[in-house]
Amino acid sequence: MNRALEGFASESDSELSATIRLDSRVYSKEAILRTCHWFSDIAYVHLPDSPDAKFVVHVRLKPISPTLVSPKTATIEDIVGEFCNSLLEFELRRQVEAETAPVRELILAKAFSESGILEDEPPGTISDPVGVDKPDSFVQISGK
Amino acid sequence: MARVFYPVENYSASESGYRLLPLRFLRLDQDRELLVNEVGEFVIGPLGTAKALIRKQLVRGSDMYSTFKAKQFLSDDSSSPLLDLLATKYRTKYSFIDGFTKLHIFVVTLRCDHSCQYCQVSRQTADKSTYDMSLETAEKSVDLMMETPARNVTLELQGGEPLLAFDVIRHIVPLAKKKAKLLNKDLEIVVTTNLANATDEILFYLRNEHIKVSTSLDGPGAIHNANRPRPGNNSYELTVRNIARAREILGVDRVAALMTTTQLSLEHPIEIIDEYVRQGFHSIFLRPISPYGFAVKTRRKTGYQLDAFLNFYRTGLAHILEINKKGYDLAEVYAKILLTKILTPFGTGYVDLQSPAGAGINVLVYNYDGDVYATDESRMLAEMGDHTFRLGNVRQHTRKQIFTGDAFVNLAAASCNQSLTGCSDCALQPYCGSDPIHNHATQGDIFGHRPTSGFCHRNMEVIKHLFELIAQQDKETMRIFFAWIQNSGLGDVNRVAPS
Repeated sequence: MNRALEGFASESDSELSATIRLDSRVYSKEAILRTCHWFSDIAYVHLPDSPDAKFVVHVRLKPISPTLVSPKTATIEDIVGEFCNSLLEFELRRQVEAETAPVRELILAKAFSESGILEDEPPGTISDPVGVDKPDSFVQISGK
Repeated sequence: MARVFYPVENYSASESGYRLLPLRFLRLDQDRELLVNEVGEFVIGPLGTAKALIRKQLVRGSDMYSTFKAKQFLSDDSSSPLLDLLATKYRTKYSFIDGFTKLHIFVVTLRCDHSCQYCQVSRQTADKSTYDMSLETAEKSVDLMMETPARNVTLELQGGEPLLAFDVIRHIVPLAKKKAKLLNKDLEIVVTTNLANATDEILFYLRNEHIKVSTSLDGPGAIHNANRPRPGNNSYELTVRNIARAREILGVDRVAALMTTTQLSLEHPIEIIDEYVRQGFHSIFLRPISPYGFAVKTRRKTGYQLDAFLNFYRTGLAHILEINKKGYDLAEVYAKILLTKILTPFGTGYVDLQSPAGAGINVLVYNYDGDVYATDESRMLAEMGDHTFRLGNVRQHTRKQIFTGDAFVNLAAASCNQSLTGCSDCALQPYCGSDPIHNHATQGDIFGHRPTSGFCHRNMEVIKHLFELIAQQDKETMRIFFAWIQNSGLGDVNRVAPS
């Protein structure tokens, strides 16, 4: 089975294994590694070195016998599909982390700082409590 | 002179985009996903919501946009300075760390008249000198306990069966109270006992010293006695009779009961819950099976047990909600702890489900022989030959040595789920916790492996189940949940539907 989607291509090598090729311009190594980690309970995942701009992921299902609770075990196609979904989610997470890391660090630093050194000054000044003199003030004083 | 507002056009937001604030997300089911911000505020939306939010596709002015802005998932030009607000919320969530170790468990003896199948440490010998805490060790333990920075200290007397070492208790209690008074600390004392040996003399002593009782009730007689054998096989009968007597002498609100879950218990959630109602209790803790002593390494082996527990929990919780709807106040404690984290700005100091982990940081165990452990489970591991989490000894080490020693420092490194693989990405991080000792016992290392972790799987499923119930927005259910959180009866909760 071949699946082509935005830099994601996969082919089943056997009933239990598949090779997934990922375009490194679309997917980051970080997202790929984290996705692989979450699948390490049901599959062996291998990332060999790759010469071109593609990440190669070999996925081999671990032998899992059916149980009363899960009588139907997942197929390699199911796993590759889930892998693709998870990969997209981890890419989104990486994007959030990249954008919000500085803010997050600042929030945590403020939360645990003892001396108040990171507190923001309240807006306004003593002589101008409602900020009338500021150019983008909400309030103006009319001369009536 | 008059103050007037500028024309309304001055207040429309500019057309520039929005910025993301820290957030995580998780698929709840086929149709919905859960988004959670850094301080545990959440939004449940259809699948694709997270993607739209993160790819900056939300339309300004739409309901979704306004919700996310109000709950601090995004900020734009017209957001007021909110970092201080988020920082304050974060501090509130973690205020349970303040004061450091608050729960101090004293194992006053290993002697016990029961041989409960889940207890690793019962001994039936009557040899007091070998298995009771000596008076000297007791004194040193009280000294160490009182060195904690916490203002509110809880002393929990445990064992074996602590009432078998009543003379040790009689020595510890006045000592602890005197020290507490000297150091201006609030001291609460609890004794966890099977009550089988609770004479009137003992009960009156407990009453006079304001000591609370926590006893074990595993369910109706057949289940309780199967779990907790003793000579005469009458543990249930003794427990029930002595609960009544203890309530008479100490007062109903000074006697609590806990259940321990076994394979047998998993098959009978309804019967166990009904027994708690029959005995007049208003709270029950549907605790997971302890993995200690089973030495299971893979999720596959524990898989059946986990699925069985989840079934047990869902069935039990549904039954408890029905009981509440019919007018009997009964809180489920596991849910209450999680709901407090989900629905209020507060965190909880429940040592088995917090990050940083409670081990050492919020709880310390003082063994009868003076050894100090990070948790009760660490002590059980030591009984089985594994001393990894032995932090020191009251006779040999100072408090500083205990908390800067290798054992504690290594433990602390694995204690924050913010920095554990798997947990660091997880939307449920603010509600969940970490348990390095559980990881060590079931997976062989303190950091653990989330995909195969029973602790992870169980908590994820329970928290997701609670979110499913919350998403239903059933007014009765939400009223019940809030009554549990506020520790009040349903009659006390104002008829205000929480949003």
